[in-house]
Amino acid sequence: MNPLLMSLLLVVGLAVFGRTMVFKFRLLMALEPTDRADHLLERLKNMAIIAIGQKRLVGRKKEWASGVMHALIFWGFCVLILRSLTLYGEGFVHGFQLPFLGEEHLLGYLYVCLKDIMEGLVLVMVIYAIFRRAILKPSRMHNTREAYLVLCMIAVLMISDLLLDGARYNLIALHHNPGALDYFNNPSYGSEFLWTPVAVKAAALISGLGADGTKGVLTAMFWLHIITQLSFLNLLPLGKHFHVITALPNVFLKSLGYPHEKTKVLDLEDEAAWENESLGLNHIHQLNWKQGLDLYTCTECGRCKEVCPTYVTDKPLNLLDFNDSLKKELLATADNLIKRAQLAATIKVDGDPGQIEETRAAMAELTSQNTLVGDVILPDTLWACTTCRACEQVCPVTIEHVPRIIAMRQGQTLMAETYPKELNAAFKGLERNGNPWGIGYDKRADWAEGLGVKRMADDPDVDYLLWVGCAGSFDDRSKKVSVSLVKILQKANISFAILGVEEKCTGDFARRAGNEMMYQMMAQENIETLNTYKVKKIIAACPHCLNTLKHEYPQMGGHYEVIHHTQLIDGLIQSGKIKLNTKVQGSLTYHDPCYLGRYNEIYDAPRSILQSVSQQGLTELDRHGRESFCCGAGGGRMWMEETIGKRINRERAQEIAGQDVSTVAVGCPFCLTMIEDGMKEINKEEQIRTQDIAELVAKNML
Amino acid sequence: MKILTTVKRVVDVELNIHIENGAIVEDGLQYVINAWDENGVEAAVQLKENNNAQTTLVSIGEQDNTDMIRKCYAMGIEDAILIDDPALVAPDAFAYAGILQKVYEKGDYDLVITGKQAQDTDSGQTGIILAEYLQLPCVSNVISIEVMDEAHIRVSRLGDSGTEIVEITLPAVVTVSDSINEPRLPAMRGIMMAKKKKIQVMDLAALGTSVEAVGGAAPKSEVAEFMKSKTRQAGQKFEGDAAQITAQVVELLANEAKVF
Repeated sequence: MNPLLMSLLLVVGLAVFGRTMVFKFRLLMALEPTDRADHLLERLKNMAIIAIGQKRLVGRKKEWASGVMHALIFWGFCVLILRSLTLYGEGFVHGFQLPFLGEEHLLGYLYVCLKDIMEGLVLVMVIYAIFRRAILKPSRMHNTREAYLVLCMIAVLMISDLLLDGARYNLIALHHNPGALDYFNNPSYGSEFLWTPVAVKAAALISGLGADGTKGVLTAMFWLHIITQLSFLNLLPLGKHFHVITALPNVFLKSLGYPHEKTKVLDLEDEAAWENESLGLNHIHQLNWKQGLDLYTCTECGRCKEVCPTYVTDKPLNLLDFNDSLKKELLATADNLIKRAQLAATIKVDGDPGQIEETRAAMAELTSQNTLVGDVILPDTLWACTTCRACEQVCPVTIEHVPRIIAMRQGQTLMAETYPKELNAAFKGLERNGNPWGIGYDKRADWAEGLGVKRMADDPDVDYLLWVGCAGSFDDRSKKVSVSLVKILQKANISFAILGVEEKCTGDFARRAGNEMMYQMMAQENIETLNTYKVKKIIAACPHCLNTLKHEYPQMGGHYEVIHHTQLIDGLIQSGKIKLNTKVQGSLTYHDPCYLGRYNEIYDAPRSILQSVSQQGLTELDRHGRESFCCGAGGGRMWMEETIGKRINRERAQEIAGQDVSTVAVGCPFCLTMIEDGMKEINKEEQIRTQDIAELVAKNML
Repeated sequence: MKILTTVKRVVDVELNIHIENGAIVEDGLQYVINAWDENGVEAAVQLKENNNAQTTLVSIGEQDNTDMIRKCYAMGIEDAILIDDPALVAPDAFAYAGILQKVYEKGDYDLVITGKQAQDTDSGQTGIILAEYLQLPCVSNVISIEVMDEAHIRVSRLGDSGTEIVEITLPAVVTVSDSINEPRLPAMRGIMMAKKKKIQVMDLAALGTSVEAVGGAAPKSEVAEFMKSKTRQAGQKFEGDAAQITAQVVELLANEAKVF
């Protein structure tokens, strides 16, 4: 079309874009390392399903319309990339075609057809998106000018390309093709137009123009498309639309094997770490590069806050803002961060100590004065989180919110000593008696008195260790669950034993509250005990214990096969070892515990059991399964007062009370306490009983 | 201001204490810092933070006490002395006070803070006897300490008829109640740093005294026997409406308790 102009536009457009990208990349590389180069096939699969397949957008029933809208725009862009390349080529070579996409290949026609339809669809979707933002205004949305600008640019891209094709069609069909402009290089007949219904419709809109006017439209649309596209490219990295570029790599690089990056086992014996205050996440440079990429990738869609149990109960944690605050701090301190990392790279282990000292001092100068908690994120915001992972489960670009929060809490608990002091009683109880209630450790097995339950100390030659957990051992309500579970195991002749007074808290809550020291103390002692008895299989009655035993103890040398009691019970029912009377139990609903569902993907076993105990079947709550609503007790919140906003458990109890059921089943002692308390608060505890699945099974066993 | 605070290592009363043949069964027991002494440590550390006081801690016992002392370091105590002498067997309050007197005399202290009693014996005498030995003013059951000037403090104590405010001239001894403060959890960082801190360990000779001189050889009081405390019997729960419950209670009072 005009090689000189095209060259100029490309050089300027790509040079500015390249400069921005190099800066963004260098900034990421200045952050802490993390290894994400493994399991390439699994990563590709994740990318194909979650990013390219748009699973979390299309697959979310609640918002399927906007999901489909986004997916069509995204897929439209994917299709249009080839068309764009063709147009850039056209700028230099008249009638440029990519290999296999020319007139001599059927693929060329198919592509033209697909492109045409996608452009039409994208245009419709953009109009819907603008309508949705401006008129429907979903509450989670964060309406910005940037969003409208980007939508308009997308519309311009579609319209300009459709009119470009329309003008070309008119020139061929109405004006005898004066410039032989068709991209299939067929001067007599644009045969591909049989495949492009949308462009032909667009052509009708400008059919009134003469040959010169039509040629003018064609040229104008061509350059408008190119200029808009290059501007669009340069606009993307500046705001939330950076996700257009970073979402695919972000999903590709997501954590594998565990829903998010596991909490690091901090080296607490490292004196330098205590002196440099480098334990936990205290300053922005301590983020790892993947966490930086997460910040780049946030689309500000607000799904995270919409599903967050704390945000919807009026607490200050708004993950969208949380991300944004971190991103602002990252970008504001970017130059110093890069310089700091360059200095750090010059330190050699065997270097001159004086020199190293000097470099470290220079690095300290470049460290941001802002503390992440206090200056960037407020303490109440940080401590509101229940670590329920609803935000992560719903995030379309797999941002990992919770590990950052835990690492920041580590900084608060270990270094700054500014954690909520109401946790002290639970920490002290853990330290002295191995349970957050602080009840004498020697009373741990009192609940099992007279039940004929073996201790590992008496006979370690059993199939399973029953991990009772602190709640099941000390909390009067949860002790009933332990007793029910024992009855089931005994009825099914399962060979099992408990640790009794040798069991200690797994340390779950301490770790999530940032007290890595207390966690490691608990974990070390438990692993030592478990390994002494050569324990291989564990039944856990608490999802928090399950999660820690299964995923976190291996980090410290404890490797066990851990199952939740509902998994075992389901197996016993399936195999006929436990028979149930389905006529007794009335209507049921089920509250999914976060650490059972979202952390460990155990959704089916509890449901299968509940189907078996109730003749009336299971009524699902509005928020269930992957989008279940937290009870409010996770992440150490069990041991803290809930003084801001509405109470989370009450909110959940009200949702449950909206169902016509006589029982709400749970599979976690914390949920049991919270939901039952919530039911009491709204005076529904008599109408709707809160029961653990084990209790329902024990009660209905034949 | 130089403060001396005392800590005793006591059996964890959260545990079931078993008695056999008049003695406590040691198996399965664990030991912790006496809760009132922990309040004393917290009070001392607060005086350090707010009034620039210097804090020294003293504990009488064996090497087992060092874990507890390090936690006090982590809470903010600056120096610690452990009096460990094998000749000391089952000291009573007089013996403890006798030893503390020597410790006091070796340092130039302005204020001694002790817990008002220990969780194991609940005798509540050591601090008061120490004050008597030292001929110092003493206020017990203290719930707040306020520094007036270098030579005076104002304390409030829980008396029988309410809070009493007492101004005392230093040096003095106070024994603190558990309502004086909420002891902090030892700082994580402090715990790590405390590992390196030295504890001054002395026997009685190093203190310039002997087990006889402090009254440890022939204690004035001795525990003759431990007995199991009576456990309260479980209560009875009545169900039904007010009239039904009243009828049941009256029936039991009349026929079982025979109060009518």
